[in-house]
Amino acid sequence: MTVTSFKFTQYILLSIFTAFSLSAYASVNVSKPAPDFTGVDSHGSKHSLSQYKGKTVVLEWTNHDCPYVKKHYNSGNMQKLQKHATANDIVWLSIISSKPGKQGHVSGEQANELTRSRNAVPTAVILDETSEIGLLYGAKTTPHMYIIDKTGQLVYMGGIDNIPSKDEEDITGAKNYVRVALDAIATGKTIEDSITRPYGCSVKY
Amino acid sequence: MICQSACLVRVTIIAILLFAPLIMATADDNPASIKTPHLTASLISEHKGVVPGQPFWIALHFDIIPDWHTYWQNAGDSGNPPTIDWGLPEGFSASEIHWPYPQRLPVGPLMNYGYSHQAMLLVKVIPADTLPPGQAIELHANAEWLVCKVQCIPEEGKFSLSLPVIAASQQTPSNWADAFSDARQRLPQPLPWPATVDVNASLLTVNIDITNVDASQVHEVYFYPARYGIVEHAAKQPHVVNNNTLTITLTRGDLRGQSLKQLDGVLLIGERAADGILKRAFTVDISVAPMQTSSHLGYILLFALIGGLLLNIMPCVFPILSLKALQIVQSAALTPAVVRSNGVAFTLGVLLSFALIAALLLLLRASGEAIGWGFQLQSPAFVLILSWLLFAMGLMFSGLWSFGESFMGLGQQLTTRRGNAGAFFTGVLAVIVATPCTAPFMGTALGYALSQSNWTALLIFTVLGFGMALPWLMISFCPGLSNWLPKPGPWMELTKQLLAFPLYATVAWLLWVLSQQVDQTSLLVAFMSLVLLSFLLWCWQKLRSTTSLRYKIGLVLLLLLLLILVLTATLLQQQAPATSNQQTQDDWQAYDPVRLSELRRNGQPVLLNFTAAWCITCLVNEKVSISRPMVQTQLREKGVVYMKADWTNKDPRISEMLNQYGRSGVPLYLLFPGNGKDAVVLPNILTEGILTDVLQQVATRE
Repeated sequence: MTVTSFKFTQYILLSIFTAFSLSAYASVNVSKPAPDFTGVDSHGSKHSLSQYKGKTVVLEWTNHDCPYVKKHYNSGNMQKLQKHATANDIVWLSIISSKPGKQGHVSGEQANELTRSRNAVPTAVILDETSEIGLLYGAKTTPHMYIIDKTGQLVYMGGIDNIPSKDEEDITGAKNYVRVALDAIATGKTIEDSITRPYGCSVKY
Repeated sequence: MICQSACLVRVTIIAILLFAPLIMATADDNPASIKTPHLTASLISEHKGVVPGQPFWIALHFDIIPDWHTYWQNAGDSGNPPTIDWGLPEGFSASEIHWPYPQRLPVGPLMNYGYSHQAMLLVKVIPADTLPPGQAIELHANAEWLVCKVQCIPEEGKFSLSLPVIAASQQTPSNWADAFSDARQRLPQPLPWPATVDVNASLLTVNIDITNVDASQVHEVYFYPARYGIVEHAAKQPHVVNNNTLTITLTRGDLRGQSLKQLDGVLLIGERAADGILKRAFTVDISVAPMQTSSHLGYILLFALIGGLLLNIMPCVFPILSLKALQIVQSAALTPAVVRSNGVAFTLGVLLSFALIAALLLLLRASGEAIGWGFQLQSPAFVLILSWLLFAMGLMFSGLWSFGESFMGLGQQLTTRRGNAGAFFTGVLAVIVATPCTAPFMGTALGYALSQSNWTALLIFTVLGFGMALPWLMISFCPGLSNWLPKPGPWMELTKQLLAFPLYATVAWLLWVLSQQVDQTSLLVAFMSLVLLSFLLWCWQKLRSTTSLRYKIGLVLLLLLLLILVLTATLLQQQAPATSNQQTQDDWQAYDPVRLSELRRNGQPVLLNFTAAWCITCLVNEKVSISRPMVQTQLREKGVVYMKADWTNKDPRISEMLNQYGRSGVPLYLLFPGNGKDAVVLPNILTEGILTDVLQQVATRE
């Protein structure tokens, strides 16, 4: 009798744990609607995902001091991708989830200065000081890339490309997953690599 | 004076330059170390020297400053594992990194896996078999790693390690020997308990039957996933132990939307012991039922039945087909009842042999052998005995000797009993000869069978055998067919003599298989044993007509002795495993898991062919599809690397890869389309058309 009730308690505990861990992580899924969010950009304007319904949206988690982010900005790779996206009416949101006092955290002015000095062309740079958007999407690294299609479905999550190194020379030979996915969306094809391993520095929550 | 001292300096420099390699080589341990602000990285060896042909351990060792860390093979949510590119002397090879189990390194809501303070990345090096004694060899390593606190610093270094070539008797441990044995203690061991995993959309439930672990003393349980996306690294891993079953609940990672084939990683179990916490790490590699869509036993049994049926038309069963054909023809003279009982006897022979092979296979696997379908042909002794059997049959068909009134009563008056024994024996032989062939559908069924409980596996094997016997069973139960068959007559003698030749052809092929398994001396012994066998059979035939019983018995004993002699002779010589098929040739490369993962990382498309000299299906496929000029041209144009995994001899690395794809035998054809995509499994029966179509889909590399 006691043994049975002990077992029972264990299972109850197990399921509570499980439910707890579920609520904390199983946030986003490819081929499912992307959760809506609202954030404030470096100019103080509000952006929410729902306002861009009907357009393809790219989310880029970033931290200008991270060597992996530097790899893609110093080489001009990220800017090139941003230009390609915005020229094709795709919304590009760079998101900084670094907490105040941590690496990569910037003020609005600093963010604008970074955009200027690096010739970056995102639609907006969202300052996610509270980590709200980062945790909602489970962003883990900088860079960590997400693509949401015109119907609001998440269609890509993962790395910028397939060579997880810090070397700029590796960019030429790498398969840029984001570019491939955007091209697939443009031509109405299915995205073959829709979930890949993101690589980079941890997001400084 | 000035000149003199200058000369002295010069001489000293020259002396240093001359003896420098020697000093390096003979010094206790002279690791090439690189000091960065965060760690000291060294290439170190467990022993002071290298003994030719004797594998030894080296390691890339990090001595890390407090609060900083480097990463494990799966770095977790961020970070990157270190990489080492080796520059080794000719004839040397290095294993992949053997990773001691890592630590959990939580960063806010994220989780990383790595090492703080000390990290030992162990690598086993196999040196060349012959090395000039007295000289030193140089191992070069180009390593890249990431060292992190909260921020991460990518670092790299070039290392070289010089070790003298010495004799085994001179080998001594270096100052690092203790660090090596400590690190090896932390290497995961194979999981000694059966484990299963249940998968749903968001959770993985792992059940492990832990015997000899005291549940009340289990202090810590943690599963480190080997790859990205399988498990949410930062999620809690609740566990319970009930009746010796450890249940761990894992939250699925980013790949939760995709079907999971394999759960692989390292399981850490910490137990309270008298002197603190005893931590043990185990390698976990659980297959999730290989076929998600049709893994119902019903489907599998159907596959097994069809596979068995198709086995009859596979090339390796040809000699048996010829035997059966003769049996059927001569059965026209028999009563339907006798034909029926012969059919049943044949079926029983097939079923029983399949069950026996299955039982043996399961037994060997249970004892930890990495083997699969066709394993008996990996034994040279078995191949030789099989060739004796077929050669003796061929000689009988050619009329050199006869057995009883005749072998299986061919062309003679039969008694029912003898006919049944013959039919039963034919069934046994059919199965033995059929093992080199895998038919379509059969691979899937066998792969599934071996991942199931023993009874299910036996059932699948039996159905496979039933499928193989089915056509013959049907013929024997359908008396109408005998009218359609030609009448027995003198032509049968002619046919019998003709059918000896496919048997000789099979013997020739078996000897070729043997030539890839044993050294040249043993091969000669094998050839001679065939000559001896024919001599024995000739003697037997001559003696049959003599009447002196004592003379007969004496000779038979003598012959038996000779046969045993031959057997022992071959057994003694067979240990030298052939490496003939393992070298890399111009148009193909030998399978190497390290090389494969490297190619895949580089986005290179790879065609991987699992084959064996004894697998006729494989050889036929190669001839009619892969070797065709059009296919070869296409492979070159598309930059596809053609890799062969030769399973003629035992190779656990190949067995492991076959297992991963739910197979237990060859052939298996995998096409990795490149760019890190998963492999496409090609059909077991390949044609030029199938291959060119599939290759068409591989993107041409710029």
